[in-house]
Amino acid sequence: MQTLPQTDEALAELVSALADGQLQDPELTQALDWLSQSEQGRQQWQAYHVLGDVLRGGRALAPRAEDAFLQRLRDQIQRESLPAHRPAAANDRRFLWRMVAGLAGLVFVSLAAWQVPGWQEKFGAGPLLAQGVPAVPQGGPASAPFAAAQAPGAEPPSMIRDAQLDALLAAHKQFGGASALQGPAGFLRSATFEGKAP
Amino acid sequence: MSESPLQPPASDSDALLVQRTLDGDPRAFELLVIKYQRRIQRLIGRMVRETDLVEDIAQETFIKAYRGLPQFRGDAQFYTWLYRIAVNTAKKFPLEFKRQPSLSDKFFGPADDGDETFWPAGEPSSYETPETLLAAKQLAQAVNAGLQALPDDLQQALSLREIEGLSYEEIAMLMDCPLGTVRSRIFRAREIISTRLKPMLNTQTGKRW
Repeated sequence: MQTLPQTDEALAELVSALADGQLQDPELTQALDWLSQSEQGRQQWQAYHVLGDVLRGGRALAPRAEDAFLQRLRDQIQRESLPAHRPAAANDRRFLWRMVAGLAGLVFVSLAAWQVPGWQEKFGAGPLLAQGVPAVPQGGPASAPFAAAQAPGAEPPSMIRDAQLDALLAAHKQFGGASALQGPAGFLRSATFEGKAP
Repeated sequence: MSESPLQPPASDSDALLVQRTLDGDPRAFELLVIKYQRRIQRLIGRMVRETDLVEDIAQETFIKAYRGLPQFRGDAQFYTWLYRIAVNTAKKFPLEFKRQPSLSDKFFGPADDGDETFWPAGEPSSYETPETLLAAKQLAQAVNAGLQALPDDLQQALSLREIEGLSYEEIAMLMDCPLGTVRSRIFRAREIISTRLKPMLNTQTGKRW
C-alpha cells in the first residue's frame, strides 16, 4: 500500500509532478486537495509554471500584473456570482422563474386540450343536430333512420337539409353509402343519401 | 523520497481541475488561470495592439471559460478550448473599433493563428509597458541564473523536462535512473530556482475566490 506524503515538502513534490501531468491517484487527489486549501501550494504552482514558461523561451509577465489580473478575475466572478456549475436550489430565483414558466405552460396545454373537444362538439357535429329549422318534412326517408334511434315519446329533431344537395345526392346515390366511420365524426363533413334500398 | 515503479503518463490534470471546478471548487479554476494566463495574454497580445485591451480580453476569455465550463465536454484539451475562446473574444471584443477602418489598424495586428506559446525573438508586444518589461526581464534573469547555478544532474533533468519536453519515463532512460529520482530531481531543481523567484512573484496571500 502506498504511503501518502504528509510534509509540505513532500506535497510540493506532488505539485511539481502534477504540473508535469505525471501524477496518478491517490497522489493526484492528494495534490489537488492540498492545492485547493493551501496558499503555499498555490504559490508553488504559480512559480513552477512561471519558471517553465521562461525556460521554454517565453517572456514572463510582470509578477504584479499576474496577481492583479488574478485578483480582478476573482472580483469579477464574485461580483457576478458566476457559478461554473450550481445545482438548482428551491430558493434560486432563476429556478423559481423556470418553475413558474413551466407551470404556466402546463396550464395552457391543459386548457387547450380541454377546449378542443368542446370546440368539435360545438362546431363539428353541431349542424347535423341543429333544431328549429325544418327544411325537410319530418318522417321523410332521409330522417327515418335517425328518427328510429330516438327515445319513445321524444320529439324527433329536424335536420337542416339543402334541397339542391338532396337532389344531387339522390341523382348520384350509387356513389354514396353508409359512412365508413359508422358514426358521427366531428372533424369530417360528409353527406350521404340514405334512401330506401332498391 | 519514494521510488515509484514506472508508470504511464497520468491522465490530463487539466480535466481533473475542470471537474473539481464543476464540483464546486472555484480554487481549482484559479489553478487553471495561473497555469494559462501568460499563454493567453501572449496570444491576445499578438492579435491586439492596444495595451489595455489585452488584459480586458484575457479577463473576458477566462470569464467566458468559467461560464461555459459545464459545456466543456473534454473532447479537446482544455487549452485548445480556451484558445478558441480567446481568439473569438479577441475578434469580437472591440467590435465598435473594428467597424471603423481608421481605428482598426490601431487595435488589431496581423492575423496570426500560429503557435502562441513563444514570443518571436525581438518582437516586443505593444501591451507591455517599460515597467512590465523590466520586471519580466528581471524574472527571466533570475530563472536563467538559477538554472545555471544548479548541480548538473538537477539542471539536466529540469532542462530535459521543460526545454526538451520529455516525459519522466524518457528522462529516466536518458539519465539511467529510476522514475522517482527523475521526479525528485525536477522538483529539487524547481525549488532551488523558485527560492529566487518567490520574492519577485509577490503573491497575495489569503485571497479566496
